[in-house]
This record gives sequence, structure tokens and C-alpha cells, in this order.
Amino acid sequence: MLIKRVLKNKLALPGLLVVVFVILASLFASHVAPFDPLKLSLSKRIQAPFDEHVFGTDHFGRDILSRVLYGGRVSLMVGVLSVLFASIVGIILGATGGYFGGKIDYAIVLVLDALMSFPPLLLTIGLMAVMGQGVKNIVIAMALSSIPTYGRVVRGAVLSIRQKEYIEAARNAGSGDLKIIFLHVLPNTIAPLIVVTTMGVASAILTEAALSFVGLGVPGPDPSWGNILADGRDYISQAPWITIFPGLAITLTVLGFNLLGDGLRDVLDPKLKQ
Amino acid sequence: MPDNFENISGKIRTPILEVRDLSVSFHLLEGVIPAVAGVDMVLNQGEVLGVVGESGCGKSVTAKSVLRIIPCPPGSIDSGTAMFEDRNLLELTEAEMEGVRGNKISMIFQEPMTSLNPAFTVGDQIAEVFRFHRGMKKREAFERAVEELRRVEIPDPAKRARSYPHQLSGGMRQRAMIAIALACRPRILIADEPTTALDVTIQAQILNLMGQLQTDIGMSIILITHNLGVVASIADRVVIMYAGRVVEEGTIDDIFACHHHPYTHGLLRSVPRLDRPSEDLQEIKGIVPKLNDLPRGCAFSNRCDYVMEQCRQREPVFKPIGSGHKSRCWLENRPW
Amino acid sequence: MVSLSEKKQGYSGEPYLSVTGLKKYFPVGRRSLTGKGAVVKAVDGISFQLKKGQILGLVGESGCGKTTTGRTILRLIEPTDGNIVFDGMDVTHTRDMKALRKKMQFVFQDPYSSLNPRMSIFRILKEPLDNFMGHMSRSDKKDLVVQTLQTVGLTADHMGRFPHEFSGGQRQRVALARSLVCSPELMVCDEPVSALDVSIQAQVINLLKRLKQEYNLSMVFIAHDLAVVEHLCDPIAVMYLGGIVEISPKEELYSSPLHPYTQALLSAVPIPDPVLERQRKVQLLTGDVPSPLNAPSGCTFHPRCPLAGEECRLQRPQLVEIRPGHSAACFKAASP
Repeated sequence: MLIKRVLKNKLALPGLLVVVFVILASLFASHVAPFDPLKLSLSKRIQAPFDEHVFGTDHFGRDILSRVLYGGRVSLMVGVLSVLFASIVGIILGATGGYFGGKIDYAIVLVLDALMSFPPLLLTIGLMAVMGQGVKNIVIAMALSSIPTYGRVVRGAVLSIRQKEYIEAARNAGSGDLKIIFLHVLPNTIAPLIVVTTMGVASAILTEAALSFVGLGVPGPDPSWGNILADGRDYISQAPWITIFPGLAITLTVLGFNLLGDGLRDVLDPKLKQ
Repeated sequence: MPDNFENISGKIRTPILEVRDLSVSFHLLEGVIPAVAGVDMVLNQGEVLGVVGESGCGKSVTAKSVLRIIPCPPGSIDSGTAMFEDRNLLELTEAEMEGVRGNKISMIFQEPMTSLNPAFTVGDQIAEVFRFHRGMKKREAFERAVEELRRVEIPDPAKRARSYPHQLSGGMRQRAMIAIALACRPRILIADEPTTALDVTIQAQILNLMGQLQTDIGMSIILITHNLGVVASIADRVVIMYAGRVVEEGTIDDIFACHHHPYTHGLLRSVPRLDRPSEDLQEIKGIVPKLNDLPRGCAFSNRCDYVMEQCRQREPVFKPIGSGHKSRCWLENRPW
Repeated sequence: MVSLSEKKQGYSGEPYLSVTGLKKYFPVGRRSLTGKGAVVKAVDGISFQLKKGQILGLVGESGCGKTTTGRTILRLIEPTDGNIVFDGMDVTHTRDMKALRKKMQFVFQDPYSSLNPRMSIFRILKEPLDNFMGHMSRSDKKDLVVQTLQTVGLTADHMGRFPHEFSGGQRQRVALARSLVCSPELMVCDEPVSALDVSIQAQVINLLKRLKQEYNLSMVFIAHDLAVVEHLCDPIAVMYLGGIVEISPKEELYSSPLHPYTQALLSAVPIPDPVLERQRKVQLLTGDVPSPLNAPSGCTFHPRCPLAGEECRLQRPQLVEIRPGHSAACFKAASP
């Protein structure tokens, strides 16, 4: 039913196709990639694309196509994991605050507002500077700085669902708070949450790229879209392909996730149901 | 000729609005919904016409189509005419319609809070009508607005004109809506469930006010409602609708005392009444069918207690059974 | 021999549900972290009693506190003050909410918002069984669900469906089934028919009558429609601004109401009969119901009351029994 509506939607379908394509390409990078992404070859330095190497090579003679494919693994993983952690913490905080209200809610809103008072990118950079480089730390830093987004969305949704009579009806039917939260409240917050998480992955991928670009992201020589971009920075006039192809990969992926998110917003809108 | 018939009091009634063969459908995801299917309805000069039916019977859609305020798409007016002052409203241009709406034909709705703009004072919203339709200056228009609020019996109108809708009670908001609707002294007022959201004591006030204003201004009213008591208290004639069709039409005495259609009969017997205490309520069995899945033949045949073989075959014609009294039913005589 | 079972049946005349001095105040506006803000006195000291097998009607206009009263009786909202005793159990202070809820069930007004849209009918009905009858096997629960659905006029085929596949009347049947599935002894129904169409309303009213017999239920029935209450309830309590102004056996209330508010309320109900409507004298009340945030001094009804005198402005009348079983809170009614 849901799948049928996604397939009919003019935004969700192209978004879904792009996202599935990118995920498959990264997942099967080891089968698809024509070269070893880490293999140096000084004789093949800075080769233009569409020759032996479809996307060209960088200043160490590494194949850009292979690096973009493998880099996708890291970038997508960082994006998805950070959103996953942030949304889990956000759900817990938002649901607790929104459902119970009162002083607990006040405390949670205070914490979320405090986190939100920093620009997210600066907060992430600050955290990375303290914790040091590494994939694990990027995920933690990016998750921490995006918790408020999910916390607020969930809290808002829970606040409106708490007003519904079926919540009171559940209490009338003898259910306790925990049961009400898991059986009645959370399943009905799924729709807005799916939309923000989908679009959140897109912005996490951008953040990872930005971090790697300034040298605070995924440490080399392992490729990520961000550090391939960073590698090409000094050669941008002689060898623009080093930056163009990972740049295109980022654009395509972000566009895909955003389209999917916008489409899901329409698909999950209860007013269009019936 | 049904155009000029004499009613009980002997007055000659002339039609002011004539709706003929109106069909409106909505094109939705789940398919085409025929919300109104071939409705005929005549409103006479100076009368209150009650349009009665349950939710989804097409009573609001009919009224909104006449004013051309149904959203298109998904809605579409498929056929019919609505003659008013020798013009077919359904064929006017949008600019011509703007000169009719709120000026010659006005409409009020069930929930006044959503039809008033929360960002402007009540006085400004009435003044806007005068500025738009009468080209008045701002100051003059506002003074007239205060007069209009006094006319609908809002206490301390000069102060209330400066209030925002949320500062008024439900009854006061409905009065303000009526003031806006009647500002240009329309010839027709369409009231769509005007008292449904109000308490009984406030409902009595509003109905009383509407009755007074109707005589003062000399307008005609189309009163859309599901409340048979409200109809009995102020209507002259009644149209009963079911599943997008008019099933019975007549004076209130025709409808309440010698109704002919089994649906009208069922409706009247299912309402709890204070004047007949503790009588058992007779329910109409089953549920209202979906408009895109109506039974064959008569739309009411699957719930009717008096269904006959031909009812399941052919849709009955809307035929006269008395002076100004029509019914859409194959039954020859009333079985009750 | 007055057997124990007879006593249990409640024929002894003892009140089955007894509410004394019930109050519910809601804080308004944003309270600061420490200080206390203003309060709305939604329910301000009401008392009534209910015998086993009775249906008490609680009537009043919006904002009179009838719904809050209903919710507080079941402690869906905690009372501010007062005492509720049900079948010997101190409802106000009990900690065993499960035992309480198993015996006392609430039926909500809006069947669209009271059913979780993501749960099938089976899961909706299974929820109370899981909570109250944990020891039952799954197949026993299923049998009970089917049996209850059949009692309310649905079938086993409906179990796998979701609320949006049903009409308003069918949804209210599902909601009733949910409340009945554990065989409660008392049901508090909050306007269960006011969101439904006229023909469906009669079906649900008749169903409630039947269920009351089959399950040997006692009920508190909250409504604004005096005609509906008349058909279902005895005795009837009339509420105005957080207090009961009159409580009486059914026949007496309708034939000889004592409180001027009850009189106005009864006269405001339009009757679906044009002949009677032409004779009906409406006792129009002036103005709106005041906000419970600053209720008038003395008798809360005095600003709208045609009989109000000096003492009504100063003192608040208590509910006094004027005829056997018929009490009113009015100085004028007490000393005519």
C-alpha cells in the first residue's frame, strides 16, 4: 500500500531510484570498482578522464572512479549512522518530554535549546577538535549536534498526539504510560520522523564532506567524498576532475535523499489517505 | 405551471433562484465521486427554503456550486443551470461572480471562527465589504460596519467592532458573520448549518435574529441543516436530500404531516422529540452508501422498508404528488 | 428473605455511585516555576447519587463542566477536591487503578479521534483484555472479541479492518465494544451520539438501551441534547457554569422544571413539527454563558436570569429538595 503510493509519487520515485542506485554502487564497490582505490601509481599521475580511467586519476595516480565508489561507503555510513544515533536519542528525549510534560519537559527543552544555540557545523568542528579525527568520532560529533532537530520534531508530534482521545481511551482501557508510548504515541509519530531523517541523511553527508574538506573528517588515505574533494583542492585548475566527480556524487546523493524526503512527506500525509 | 403556484397563505410566489439538473462530481484518488446528481431546486422570493439531509448528501455542495466556491479541481460542475436575475450563475465569468457573491447572494457557514480572518478586527472585515462592493471610503465604511453590528444585536457595537474574532464568543462570532453576509442587503442568504456549532439557547437567539432580519431586509434564505427542529421552526418549504439527489420537496406541512418518501418518513421517526416523550426511536437500518457505490435503481433501495422489485431496477422519477409537493419514489400511496 | 444476591443487585436503595462536593480547578496561562496563577473552576462542588441500573443524564451547554465531571469520576483527570464512592470503593483515593477501570468505563464523544488509526479493530478490543484479563488465553480473548462485536451489531469479519474503513456510526460501535469487552458495571458516556448523523443517532441510542439491559449497566450519560437525554435517562441533572442547578426524575423535569435556566433551556429546543412550532414560546435568554474564568458572584445564572433579585447577586443558592427527589439551586424556586 505504502510502496504503491511511493511508486506513484512524482518526487519520491526518482528520489528512491537515485538513493537505491548510490547505496548499491557503494555496497558493491569491491565488485564494481575497476581499480584498487588505494593503489599508487606514479606513472599514471593526473590522467584526464574518459581514457583508461573513466573518471581520471589524482596526483598519486589513484583511480578516481574507484575512490568515489569506496568513498561512498564511508560517506553514506557516516551519514546514516549519525542520523540513526541522533534520532534514537531525539526520540527518547522528545517522547519523554512531550508525553510527561512538566519539569522533565522543561529540563529537556532547556538542554535541546542549549545545543541548538550553537551553529551545528561549528559545534561539530569544536567536538572534532576535542575528540580528534576518526570515523567513530565524526559519527559521535555529528550525532550530538543534530539531536535537537529530532528531539524537537518528535516532541512536537508527541504533544499533538497526546491531545488525541485515543490516548485517553488507552488509559481508560487500563494501559500504563510505557505501553501507551510504544503502542499509541510512537507509531503515530513515525510519519514526520521518516521525513526528517531522510533529509537528515542528506545534510549529514554534506557535513561530513565539509569536515573532511577542512581536514577534520575521515583521515586519509581511506577515501571519503569529502577528502577526495580536499585532495583535489590544490590541483583544481590543472585537474578539475578530481573535485568534480566526488562533487557530483555528493550532489546526486543529497538531491536523491531530499527528493525522497519531500515525496514521503506527501505520501505519508494522512489527509491524502482515505 | 409550477413556476407560479399559490401557497397556503394565498400569496403568489415568484422564483428568485432556479437550479436545474445540477450535477457536481469530485475527482479524487479513489475515483470519481458524484456528489450532486441532477438536483432541481427553486427558491421563491421572500421564503425560507430548508435543505435537509445527512452528511455527504450533497446539500452543502449544491449551495457552494451555485456560488461557484467549490474547489475545482478536484471538483467539477458537470451539468446544469442556476438562473438568478435572468443570468445563469454557472456560466458567468469569475469577475461577474465577484459582483454576485457577498453582494446579491451571501453565505454563512457552520464554524464562524474559520470563516473570519483572525488577523483583522470584526469591524474592518465588515468595512471591507462596503469598500469592495460599494466603493466607500475607509472611515465611512467603518461607521457603517458599527451600524451593521448594532443591527445584529451585538451589545456595545462600537467597542466590539474593534475586537478580533477570537475575543468574541461563538454566538457573537456567528452574529458578526451574519453582519458581514447581510452588509450589502443581499437578495439571497445561504446559511450552511448556521447554528449547529452553537448551544441551544444561543441557537434560539440566532434563529430569532435571522427571522427578524429576513422580514426587515426582505430577502430569501436557503437554510442548510440536518436539524429537523430548526427547519420546522423557520422554514416555509423543505427539500430533503439523500445521496446527491432531492428525494422530496414540499411545504413544511407537506413534509412533516403528509410526507411521501420513505427516507423522509424514516428521518422524522428517528429523531428523539421532546413532545413525544419515551416513544421508541425507529432507526433507519444500514448505513449511508458510498456515493461511488450506490445501489442499482433507487439510491435508498438498500435501506428502505417498503422496497419493491422495480426500485432495484430503475431509479424513480421526481414526480409531483400534490400542489408543489414532489417525491422521488415508485410508491403510489403512503403505506404508513 | 432479603438475600445477599439481592443486596448485591442494589435493590436496597443504597446509592451505587455517590459523588460529593466534587471540584476540578484548572490552572490557566503559563504558571511560573514557583508561583500559582489563576484557575478556571470547571467543576465547582457538585454532588449527586446514582442507583444501580439507573442512567443519570448530565445535561448542559458547552463549558458547563459536564465532560470534566465525567472524566473526573473515572479519574481520567484527577479531582481537585471531593469524594467519589462506587460500589463501596473509594474511587478518589484508590491506588488500584486497574480494578477501578475494569469496573468503570468511559465512552468518548468523537469516534474519529478515540480510535488509534494504526490499530486493527481486533487489537483495539484486545488492549483492555490484555490489561484486565491477562490470564485469558489468546483464543478465549478472540472469542470474547467476536462475541462483543456481535453484541454491538458488527461481525467477526470486521476484526482485521482499520478504523478509517468504517463510518462514524460503526466507529462508535467499535468504541462501545472496547468499553464493554470486559463487562464493566458503570459506563460514563460523553456525548456518544452527538457526532453522528440523525438516522445513525437513533441506531446508537437504541443500541445503548439494549446494552444497558444485556450487561445490567449503570450509566452516566453526558449530553447537550435534551431530547436525546429524555429518551435514555432517568434521573436528569442540569449543569450551568460548573454547578448542578437542578436534578430531578425525568417526567418532573420536563413537565414542571423549577430552575429558570432549565425552563429557558427546554423552551429553546425546536420541535420537528411545524404545527407545534407555531405555538412554541421561546424564552429567549439574553447574552452568552459567562466565562468560567470569572464566573458571576452569587448565583452564576443571575446576569441572564429573568427573575434575578438582590439576594441572587450576593449569595450562592444551594441545591435544595423542593419536591420529593426534585432539587433546584434557586432562591426563587425555593420560595415562590
